[in-house]
Amino acid sequence: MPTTPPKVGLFVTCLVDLFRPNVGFSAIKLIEQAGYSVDVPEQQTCCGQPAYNSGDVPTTRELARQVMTAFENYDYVVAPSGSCASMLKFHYVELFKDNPVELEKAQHFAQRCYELTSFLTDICEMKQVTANFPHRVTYHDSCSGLREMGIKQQPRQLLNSVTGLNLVEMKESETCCGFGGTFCLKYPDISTRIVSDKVANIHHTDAEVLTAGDLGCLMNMAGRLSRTGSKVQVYHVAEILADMTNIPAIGEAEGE
Amino acid sequence: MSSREQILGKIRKSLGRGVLSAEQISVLEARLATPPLHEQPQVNTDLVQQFTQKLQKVGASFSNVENESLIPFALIALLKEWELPLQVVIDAHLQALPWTDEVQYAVRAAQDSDKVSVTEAFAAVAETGTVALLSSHSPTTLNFLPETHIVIVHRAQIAANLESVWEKLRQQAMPRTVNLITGPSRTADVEQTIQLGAHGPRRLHVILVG
Amino acid sequence: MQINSPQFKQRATVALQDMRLQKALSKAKGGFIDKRLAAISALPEFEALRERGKAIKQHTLENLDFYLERFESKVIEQGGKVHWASSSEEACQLILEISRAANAKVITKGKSMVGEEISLNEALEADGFKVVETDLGEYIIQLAHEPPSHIIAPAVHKTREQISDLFHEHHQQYGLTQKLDTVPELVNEARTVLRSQFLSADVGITGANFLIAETGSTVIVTNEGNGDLTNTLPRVHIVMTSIEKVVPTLNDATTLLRLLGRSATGQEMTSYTTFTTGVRREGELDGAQEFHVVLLDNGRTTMLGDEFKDMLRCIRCGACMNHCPVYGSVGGHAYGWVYPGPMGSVLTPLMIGLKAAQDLPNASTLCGRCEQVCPMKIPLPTMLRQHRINAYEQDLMPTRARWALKIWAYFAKRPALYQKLASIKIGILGFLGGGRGSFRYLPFAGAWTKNRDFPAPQGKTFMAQWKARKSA
Repeated sequence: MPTTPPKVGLFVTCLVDLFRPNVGFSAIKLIEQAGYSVDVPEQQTCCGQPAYNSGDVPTTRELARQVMTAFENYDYVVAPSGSCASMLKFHYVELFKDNPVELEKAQHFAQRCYELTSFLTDICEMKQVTANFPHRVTYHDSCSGLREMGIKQQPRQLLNSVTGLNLVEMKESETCCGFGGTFCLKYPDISTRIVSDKVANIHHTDAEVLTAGDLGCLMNMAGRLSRTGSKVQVYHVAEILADMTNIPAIGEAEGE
Repeated sequence: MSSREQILGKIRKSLGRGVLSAEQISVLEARLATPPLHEQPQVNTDLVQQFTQKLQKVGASFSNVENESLIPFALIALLKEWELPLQVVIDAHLQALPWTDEVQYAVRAAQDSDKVSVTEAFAAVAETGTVALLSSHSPTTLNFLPETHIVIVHRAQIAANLESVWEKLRQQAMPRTVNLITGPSRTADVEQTIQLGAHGPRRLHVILVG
Repeated sequence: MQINSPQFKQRATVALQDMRLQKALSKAKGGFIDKRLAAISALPEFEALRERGKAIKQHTLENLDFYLERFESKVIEQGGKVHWASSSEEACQLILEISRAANAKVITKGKSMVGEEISLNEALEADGFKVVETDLGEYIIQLAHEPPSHIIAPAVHKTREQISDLFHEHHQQYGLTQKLDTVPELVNEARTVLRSQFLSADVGITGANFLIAETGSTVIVTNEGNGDLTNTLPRVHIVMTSIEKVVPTLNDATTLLRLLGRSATGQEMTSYTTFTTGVRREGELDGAQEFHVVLLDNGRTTMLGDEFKDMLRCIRCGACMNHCPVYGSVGGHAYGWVYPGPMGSVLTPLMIGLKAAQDLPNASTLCGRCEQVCPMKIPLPTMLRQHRINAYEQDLMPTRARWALKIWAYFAKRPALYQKLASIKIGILGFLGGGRGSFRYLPFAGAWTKNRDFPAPQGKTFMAQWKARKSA
């Protein structure tokens, strides 16, 4: 029986680090509320997805080693992103198929990795949050989180516990938003078409706020919403659950 | 080296082995000799009910007769209802039925000018509302050329799943053609709109006997 | 078939602006998706069948030589002939020889994707044969001189008006001069025109959905009945197929049929599922008197030994492309060859080369919906990524992208340096964008800002703030 409480290492994710630190701080607040201590190892930059999905396995391996080393002393590795979490949990093992020692290390590492909302509900057994957000909100199911990590009910369960929050489902919530990492830069016309379909579905719900568990998706959708003059505001699910929405929404200027 | 040898050789190379051993082959032979029965969809205990329900769902129709001798009579009624000439092309097994002079029947392969064909089924499948027809039993063209195709199915012939039909078929030689027919001909190639009678029959009707 | 995959990007852009195509695509997409969902929801055993289907195919592939040889001997036993073709050219050659020997004038065809793969029609027509596609969708695109845009519904990109125009133009020669409008009228006219072709054919060529080793049968799954008229009426019947179609027994085929119909069109069984075995028997009154099966390799034996082995399980249902957001936006022609959508993006590089087909595995968000709906549980995103890995190793990545990646990687591997630089860069961006909240334009991110605003960063990186708090 361990005498020290389990230590959680926060995997910040490169997008959160660069563009929306508030998501990281929201994650910390939530994990602490759940009764765990959180630390952020500094030797982290990126999970390696951009390299992996571009076919650069050597770079991906180096980044994987860097991440696994940075997080070796934590009981849990938690990321506020389904795609980063699935990279750590399911794809690191693919990188070391041919090396038994590193493969074992990656397997042990994988067992400790979680996406934020499912960590809160499935591990911390959090039933509700103490947040207030009296808005009509719709949730987009980011692809990796949904299909690789099985994240569907968990964020909804927690969102439904937020005071005043009215959760409405959009049509095709499980359909891709068109971000796909470098895809949206390499094939912008196709990406725009896909995100436009998503925006139409968002508008159909009359939601005031869009949320999801992946910042890449959110920036992509926020960018299209804003370009088309939409009034829909975009927040990461961690920000809503942690009651840290008193800052401008993603892509929004101060005072909007 | 022939392409045959080339292809077989490459297969073995890709699989990382040589020719299969005698033991391995005997395991495969055993599987072929006793084909495994896999998961099957559940079917109503009332096979006739499921069969006729599915038939209608796929756009086929059916009627009942108590016994075989009533078939020609039922046929005449149907043809009159559909306002079709009383001329049919049938398979040889139906020759022995008590035909009257009212209906002209021919026993041969179908021709383009035939409007109505009547064939006896080898089996039927309740799972999907399917009738199974064999070329050894009735000419295949009867199933496709005329616009109206009537199939005689005896209630006892209705099996729950397709696998039972294979079991029955294994008792004899495979014919040139086994047709599993589930409803009339259809297409959705124009604007995803279903249209019956693409190239095969527009109308499929089952006469259930028994 | 002409290869246009290198022009994927341009073709995709054109497709996105083609309003008629977009209208056709959204109609088709909804239909296929809803019908499939209804069919599988009504079958509690569906998941178990998927596992079983995967196991059947895996077993078969492990013993592919045995099952192909067994299939061959059974075909011969029933009076048929089996021809093995390593390459597309060889397959065409074999079929040309059979058709010449038959003194054929008219050849009818059932739908065959393998036929497209080997450019069969072009070869036959060049040799002077009249080739008539009889599947309605294939017939339509044959008139339009276009390739198929979907493996199940080849003319899915055509509207009713376009089909009406095509028929009006091409049916004059049969004395059919009326311009038709409704679906029933169009289908009926096609029925009439094609019926006379069926009856005049000397050779009929069909594909095969499955080959049964147990009995030496070839199986076709159709709704129209054209495949059956093609394989029954002519004196000579040729099945143009490929080696991975074989399954051990009738029972195995039945499991796969249960998966195929539902996944493709939402049907439990198509109108016609036909098992053809050998030649017309003694005493039978119709049926082909010559039966040939041409077995094509064209790279499949290589796939059997590499990372793409699982792709050989594909039963060509089309579910992946029906659910793909990319296919759904651009349609099949953008992919530039025979096989579109996710399965096409895996197969095309293997058959026409990675260099020519490079865009296909890259034009994907790896959303994973294809794998989710694949009845054979094929890990499509993994194989798309494998193509990207192979492209990187073969140095096929465009130079600019490769360098951008290298530069980014240099910093990502050095956290302290990365974080210092990021702090500065983000500080600048945050300062510049903070007032508006988003950038309407950003240099180096033109692809993004063309149609989207770029959300401005908060201004201080997380790591900078974290470090500051810790030292406070």
